[in-house]
Amino acid sequence: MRQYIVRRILISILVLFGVSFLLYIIIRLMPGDYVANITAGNMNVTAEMEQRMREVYGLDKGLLEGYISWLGDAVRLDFGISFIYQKPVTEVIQRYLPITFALAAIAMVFEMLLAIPLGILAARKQYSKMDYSIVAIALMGISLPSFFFAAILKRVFAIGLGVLPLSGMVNARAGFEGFARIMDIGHHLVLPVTVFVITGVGGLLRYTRTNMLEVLNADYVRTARAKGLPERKVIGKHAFRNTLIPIVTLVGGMIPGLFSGAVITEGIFALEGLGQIAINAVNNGDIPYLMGFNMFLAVLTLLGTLVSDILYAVVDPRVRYS
Amino acid sequence: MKKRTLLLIFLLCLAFSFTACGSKKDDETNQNDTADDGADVDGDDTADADGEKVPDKIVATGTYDTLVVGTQTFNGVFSPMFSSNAYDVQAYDPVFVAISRLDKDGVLVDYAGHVEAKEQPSEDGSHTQVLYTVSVKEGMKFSDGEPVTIDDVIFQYYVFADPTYDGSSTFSTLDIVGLKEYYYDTPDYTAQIAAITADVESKYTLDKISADDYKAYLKDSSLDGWWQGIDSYDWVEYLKGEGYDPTGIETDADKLLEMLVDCEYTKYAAYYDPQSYYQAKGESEFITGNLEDGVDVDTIEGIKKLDEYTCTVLFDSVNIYGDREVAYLSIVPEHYYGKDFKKGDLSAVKALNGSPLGSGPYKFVSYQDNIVTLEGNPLFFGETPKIPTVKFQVTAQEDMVDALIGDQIDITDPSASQDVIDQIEEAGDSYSLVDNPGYGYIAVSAKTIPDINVRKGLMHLMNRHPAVESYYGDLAEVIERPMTPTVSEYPHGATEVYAYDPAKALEYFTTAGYAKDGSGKLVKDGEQLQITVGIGSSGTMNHPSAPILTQMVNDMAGMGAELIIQDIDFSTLTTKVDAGELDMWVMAWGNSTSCDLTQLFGSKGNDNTVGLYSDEVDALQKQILQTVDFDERCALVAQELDLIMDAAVYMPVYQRKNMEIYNASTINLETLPEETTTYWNYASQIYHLEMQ
Repeated sequence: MRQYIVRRILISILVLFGVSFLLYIIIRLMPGDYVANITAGNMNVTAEMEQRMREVYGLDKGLLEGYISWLGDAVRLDFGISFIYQKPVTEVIQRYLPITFALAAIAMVFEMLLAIPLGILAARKQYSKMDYSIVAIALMGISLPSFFFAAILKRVFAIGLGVLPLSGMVNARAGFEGFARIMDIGHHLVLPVTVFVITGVGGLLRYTRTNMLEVLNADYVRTARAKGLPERKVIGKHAFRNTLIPIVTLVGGMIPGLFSGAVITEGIFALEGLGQIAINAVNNGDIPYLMGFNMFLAVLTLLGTLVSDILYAVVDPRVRYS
Repeated sequence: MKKRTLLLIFLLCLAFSFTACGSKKDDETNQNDTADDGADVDGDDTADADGEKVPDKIVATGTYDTLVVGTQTFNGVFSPMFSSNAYDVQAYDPVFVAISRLDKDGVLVDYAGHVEAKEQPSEDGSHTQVLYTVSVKEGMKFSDGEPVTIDDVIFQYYVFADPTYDGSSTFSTLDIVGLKEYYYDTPDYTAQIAAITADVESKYTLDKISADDYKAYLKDSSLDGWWQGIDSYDWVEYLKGEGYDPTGIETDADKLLEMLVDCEYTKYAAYYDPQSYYQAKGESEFITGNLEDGVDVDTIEGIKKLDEYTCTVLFDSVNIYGDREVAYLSIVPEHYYGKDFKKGDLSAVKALNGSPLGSGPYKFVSYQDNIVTLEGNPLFFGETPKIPTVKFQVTAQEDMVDALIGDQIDITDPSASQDVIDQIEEAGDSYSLVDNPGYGYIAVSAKTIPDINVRKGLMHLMNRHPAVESYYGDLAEVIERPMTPTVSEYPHGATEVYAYDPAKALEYFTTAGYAKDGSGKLVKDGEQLQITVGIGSSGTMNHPSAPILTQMVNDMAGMGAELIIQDIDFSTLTTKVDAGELDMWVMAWGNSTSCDLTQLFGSKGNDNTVGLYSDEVDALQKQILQTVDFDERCALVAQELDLIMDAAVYMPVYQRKNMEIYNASTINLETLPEETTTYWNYASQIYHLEMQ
């Protein structure tokens, strides 16, 4: 096992080099660079000044030269200073990480709490009215565009009923401190989390349902039933636990999603998350930030797959790595 | 079995606690960060406490003690020296005061200081110099209790003039005595550049340049940027048309370029400008590397301190905006920002971008949860602010009106529309409309459409009035000259030059040599009239100028010509414009307060993407910038704008209104400025504003 993990980590490092090179090329090929963006609209900027600024930002270097200098710093964990935020990239990510993560993690917990029981329920009563309505609702959730659903929620709960705040993270006028502030943030996160959960629950639910169906048709479930075990035990002990195997591995793959942010939802609810920051960076050609952030996601993705592979071996004794 | 269940649950728990741990840790670091910031401010507070007695905190006059302003996404760069985001500026603005500021009519007036100009002959008597005397009021203090002196102002000049300065100030381009020497870090800058110029003039003018030098220039500059690789244009066809035979080298980029260089040199040598190229090359070779050998010039000769509160700045030539350049600046404390500042290293100044400190009516408290919090500054030199706390909260543009009506915010600036006006009036709130200091235009490139008759024809096809009316209603007006009408010099009586008239357009196309062929196409030398226009609405065509283009498509199709619309995202549009790939494009200028159009329409202008090269315009621009008399200057500007219109390169389209809305149930509306204008709003006298 240990040997396997070491090997995987070594391969991951190679993959990261490839990823970083591709990322750098793609980011540099984006139309419009940062200097052109910030000087556009300012009539007083001279060509000389622009040239000087390109030198200051290192945009005058060629692709390969630029990549090598980025890589040289990156291996020492120095990801440079973000052009637009004018702070070290790691600091920017750190600042916006908590809210992004909190939002995604809360949503994920709710998604699992909803998806797993509902998925099992739908599978147990396959082709019943219950099954159809659960699957229909799940599909509606998947199909709803988040901006549209968010707009409806806002109109109903914030503008119409006035029970929930329209947008933002805290009540600016009240300026709560301590525990009240946490409650206030929670109050503001209700609508965004709802959007996340409703639009995201469908995938996991259908996954659970399909797996459960497969397991319910397995020989050992028939055996259990033939033994005369009560249905509760058949489902809870024999079927459910086997359904969990693929779900546990799926969760490993969700790790990067917890940190990547959600551009649209964050924008609509004026949340200070990594998604908004990243889209802003894309629009402005902020190369250091985009490189740093995307590498962070790449590392998480590789870690996520590694963790799910390991978990797979742990939960399923048939799988052995050696 | 039991063991496996336990293991499973344990693992799940582990997975969650691991992730939860991560978040907790991040929360902690975040809190530490903010705590640190807080400690800084606190520390400064106590530091000044043992000086004089610190006035009490400001107490609310009514029920509400916090003003909430709805704004948009921050970049978190809250520094007058480095910010490039309008919302960052809005949030830090009350933290600082400027030496001079613009009054409601856009005229420079005294605020926390004074500036005056005096013309004087240069030492050798060859030209006129202007000496600006800049002073700050005595007795002012920064919010940490330190006194404001002229050193703080001079410090900022040095930051702006630094060779590594990368903010949006264009101070380093000013003609201040000794500024270039400082910027390029070489004591004899002027002499060296003069030597380069002399050398270039003796070798590289059009009549003196050698064939080899000329060809080297064409090759190195990729035909002055025209050649952008083998696929960027149908070169083979072009060469054939010019009488060259590129057979056999169609796919060989190097050889093709070589042939093109030869072709252009032989036939179009007069149309290129090798002199400027060699001048720029010489200068940049000379300039690069001056700083690497250590600092040679550590002061700017033209900037002198007279006493604690006064300094002088000597301009080597007349600049009608000189007073703004030296005095329309926020005063930043040197003792705070300049602690570790040295020439060529601004990192210490930038490190404080997140925590501004100044002498304005408010002081910075925090930036957290998408909210910037400011708190009244009792040390402010003017009227003591009435509202204890001001917060700037990020609000999605589409929520601004609802958030204001729902009392979540008090003041904000949604994009103006009749709908918003109706909603605000119905809710009993208040609003103001002011002219946006910018304008929208359609550019027609003289580079890709050299024939002025074709350009004039295109201009006559632009039906602006219905387009602007349908998009903005009463909230924008069609303008007739390419300049922001809020600039004082704008000729308000100017009349329309190119009225919408397809018949006239066809007439111009005919004059240009286009005629209908057998298949009904409008052709010249066998080629159809085909124009490519770029618009930056990302594929939605939701843009005030979009209907103009769609009508042009129809009109031109009727004549047998073709207009191809490329609706792309904005940064792609900018790239294409800079690369000269488009015949026409739709864009807008924002936030301009100057009548100086040198960069836009001057032959050497950085933004002269339409390729207007007119000696007459250049001369006028030079004259305008040296004409101090306002009326005289207006006349010259009008003349310049007429010339630009005649050249048919810019079709000004609209100037829109900006809107601000005010919450009548939380703000005491009587304390808003009597008149809100482009230059003057609630923020200009925020110390005067009261809540209910």
